[in-house]
Amino acid sequence: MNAQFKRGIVELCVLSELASEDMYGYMIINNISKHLDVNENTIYPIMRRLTKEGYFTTYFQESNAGAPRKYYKITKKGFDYYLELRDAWDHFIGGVYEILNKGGKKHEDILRKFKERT
Amino acid sequence: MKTFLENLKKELEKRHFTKEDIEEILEDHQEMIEEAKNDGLSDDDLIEKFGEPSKLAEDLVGSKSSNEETEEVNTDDYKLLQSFPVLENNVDVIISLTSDDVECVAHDEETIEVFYKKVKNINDYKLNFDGKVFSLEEKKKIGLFGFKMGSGQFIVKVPKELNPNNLSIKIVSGEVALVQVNAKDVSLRAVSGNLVVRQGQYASLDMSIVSGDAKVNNVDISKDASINSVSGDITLSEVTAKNFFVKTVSGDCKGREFYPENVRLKSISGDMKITNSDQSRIVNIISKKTLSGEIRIN
Repeated sequence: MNAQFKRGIVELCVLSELASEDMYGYMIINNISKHLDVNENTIYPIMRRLTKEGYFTTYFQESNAGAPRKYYKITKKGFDYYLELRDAWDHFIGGVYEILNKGGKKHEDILRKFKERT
Repeated sequence: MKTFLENLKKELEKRHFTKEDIEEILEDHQEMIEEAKNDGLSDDDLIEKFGEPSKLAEDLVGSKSSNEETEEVNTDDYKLLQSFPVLENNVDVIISLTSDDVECVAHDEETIEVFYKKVKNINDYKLNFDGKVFSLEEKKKIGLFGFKMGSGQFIVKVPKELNPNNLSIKIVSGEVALVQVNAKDVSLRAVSGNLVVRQGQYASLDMSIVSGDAKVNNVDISKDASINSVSGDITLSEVTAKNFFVKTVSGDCKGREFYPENVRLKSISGDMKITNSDQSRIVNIISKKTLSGEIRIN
């Protein structure tokens, strides 16, 4: 997948994870890489950049596991940005499916239509 | 995983991250690696999850602090000649002028913009961009000496992500500055003008001056670099490269925090002096030759 496109999507996912609760770095990475084929070196730079841009703040909290963990918390600015991105994404992906579904919703559909033509 | 952190540190230093940034990034990674280990991940899993330190460092450049923000070049008293939208990166940039100054800088827009001032007749210049090659040249003039004596000033702004395959600037008596523009192969030539290169990452850099001076600051070259001077002085600071070749006739060369892996120095009567503070970074001296000058490293 195009790297820039992927980064945009991962950015939305990071925002979405933090929109629901504060999380520490490894947790965010794990939650996302469970569903998408991206690893730490894509996700961490995005977390860091969004923090620098004032979308997240960070704080430390003791853990049972050992050293204190660095938690990320979404700011008001971050939340507004998330809603904006989310809208744009819904709109975009909706449009993509409008186009794709015209050709048929399932593989069999698509294949049948194709066979009718040839 | 200790080597991962060490390599990451090196890669970040290479890209001139601030001390604070490096410390923070390393701490974050230490924490995440600990978590991953507690989670039962093996060393192989970890490598898979954390990837290449160089790639990570590259992706982190966008989150770098302060001093490396794109500097806004003031174009207030300049006129915009033309703005070209850039659809594809890695184009070639060719600038060839006689006595005008040119400054080539990066900006945050997806356009190549050309500004000018003090230009007598802008119709004497030819500007072209076909999506693959950008060129700014002077139209051939048949005059007494083959070229005119006026001196204008140009600013060429290119997208930060443009990363030209070839970037070539040729000038006779004007000044050339290349600032915050990354490129693959860079070639800069001046006769009596000065060349200034600041903040850039290139695969190769080739500079040639006759009587003007050359200054290179905060530049990383992944392969070969060469600077050729007749009587102009060369100043290198915070520069890394694989192979670096400096050749002067009577010009002096001063280096500070200059860490090529291999270096060749050659001078007739010019002096060369390189002072580096980090003694653990080894600079291999392949050859150093001088006739009457002095060459000193550290």
